[in-house]
Amino acid sequence: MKSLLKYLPFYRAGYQSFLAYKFEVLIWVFGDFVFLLITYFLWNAIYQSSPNDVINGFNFQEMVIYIFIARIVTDMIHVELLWIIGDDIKTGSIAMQLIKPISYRTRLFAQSFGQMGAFVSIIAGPILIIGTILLHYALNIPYPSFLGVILFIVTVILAYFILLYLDFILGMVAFKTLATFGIGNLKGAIINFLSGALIPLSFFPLWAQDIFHFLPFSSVIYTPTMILMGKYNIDMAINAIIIQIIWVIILMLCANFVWKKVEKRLVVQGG
Amino acid sequence: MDNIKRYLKLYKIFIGQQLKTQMAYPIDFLLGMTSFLLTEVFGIVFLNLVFSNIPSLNGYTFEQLLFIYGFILIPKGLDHIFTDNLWIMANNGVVKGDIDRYLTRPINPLMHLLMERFQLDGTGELITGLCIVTYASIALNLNYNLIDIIVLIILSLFGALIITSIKLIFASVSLWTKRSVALMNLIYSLLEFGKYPLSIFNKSLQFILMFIIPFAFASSIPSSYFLSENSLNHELVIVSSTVLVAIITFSIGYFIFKQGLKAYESAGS
Repeated sequence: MKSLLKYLPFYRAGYQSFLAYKFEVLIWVFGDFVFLLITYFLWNAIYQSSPNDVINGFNFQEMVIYIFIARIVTDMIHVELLWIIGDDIKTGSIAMQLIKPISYRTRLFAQSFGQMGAFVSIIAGPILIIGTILLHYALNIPYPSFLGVILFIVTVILAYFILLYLDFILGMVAFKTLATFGIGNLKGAIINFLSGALIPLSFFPLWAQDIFHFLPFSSVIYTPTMILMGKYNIDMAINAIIIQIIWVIILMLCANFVWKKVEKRLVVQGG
Repeated sequence: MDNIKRYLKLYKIFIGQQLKTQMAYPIDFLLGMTSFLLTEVFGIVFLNLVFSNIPSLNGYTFEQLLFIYGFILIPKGLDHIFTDNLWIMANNGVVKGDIDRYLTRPINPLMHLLMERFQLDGTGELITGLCIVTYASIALNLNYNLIDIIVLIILSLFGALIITSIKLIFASVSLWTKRSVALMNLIYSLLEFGKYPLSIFNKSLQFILMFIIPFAFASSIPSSYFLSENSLNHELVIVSSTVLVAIITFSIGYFIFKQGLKAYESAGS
């Protein structure tokens, strides 16, 4: 525990870097707003053109709420590790990082936690709480259950670790290819689509849903969103959480393996 | 005439230099292109999934929607290829003193700025857009005669000019404020609206997209030339309004750029 305390400054640095770029954060939130606006009108037109009120288990109101929560979850689990590692490699500061008596990986994680902590406490948390209250009074939508909220928090944290380890592994690959920009964009495109951030996975054909169910991507956005909306029963929720835990373990082991390889290679280069 | 020849010769040299730097990280370039392609493919799969539940969207068939979705990528790609340096200017061009260089050379500062960067990434958008439009046209049984093809080229070029001009307006803000990339990014993100028919949005959004930030003239309005049976009059209105909007926005953009350069000069001395 005490050894972890020395990473506290990195957590704080991550938290404060978020505060330092107020304008950038504002623009980011505006970008989300534009996205939500487009999606709102698109779904509005879709539901007006549809002969049924319910499409693949969602009525229009639920679809709007789904898109809204999915967007906030997307932002909450946003990880920038790959860019940070890419920067450290390109500027060469990685060498300085590695000779310091701290673990490079733990430092990166602490910094990421700081960014996430700032985002959740300043933006996502308040928006979710105010949004839920507003929806309750305006549209009479019931509050999520206490269990639902707890399970939501658990699944978001697990989702965050999945993406954190995934980013770390991709960052280590960047040591070899120096292609952080391309890898980052590719990862973003795939996660955006297969995670249910754009469209609920229930819209996909059944065979595709079966595959997505076992991939790590669906569990990062679709799972928490469906749980908060109360669309999963307890069995489904536990099932989804088990899949998340398995992925965290798999990715953690991969990350350890790749990190050991890279570290060795760097030591050889330095000697 | 000599002037144009001189600019073309210069541009060739600039492009040669640019291609070398862009090909320095080939894997990065290829992955970037793939990810871009994938994003657009996913966008189409999204529409496809939606259309398995509805017969048409606001009166548009899947193929018609596809046409609009693909059409906007053509002006967007053209703009991306030729005017990417506006992003650099808005980001740190002013702070780094790039502007001094443009002002001290014997060519038009805006030409210099635009020629200095040739962004190969944009070809991905351009080719994807052309493929989608071609596919949608075949599926919709659209017959193109020579005039239609000329109109397609004109609308694409002037659509690109609209995007460029709006970028120019907000990049020029940096001449006063030093940086304006965030603001520019914010405005540019409105281009996403152009992927869908204008009629699905409410009246105030339609007004903004037609008269304030006129991206509608780079996407769904020119698309309507090909998508519906129009009278000759209507067709003339579509083409001339697109050209007119492009010229007006460019004039505004160039005026603001010039004013910005004046302000920049006085601040620098």
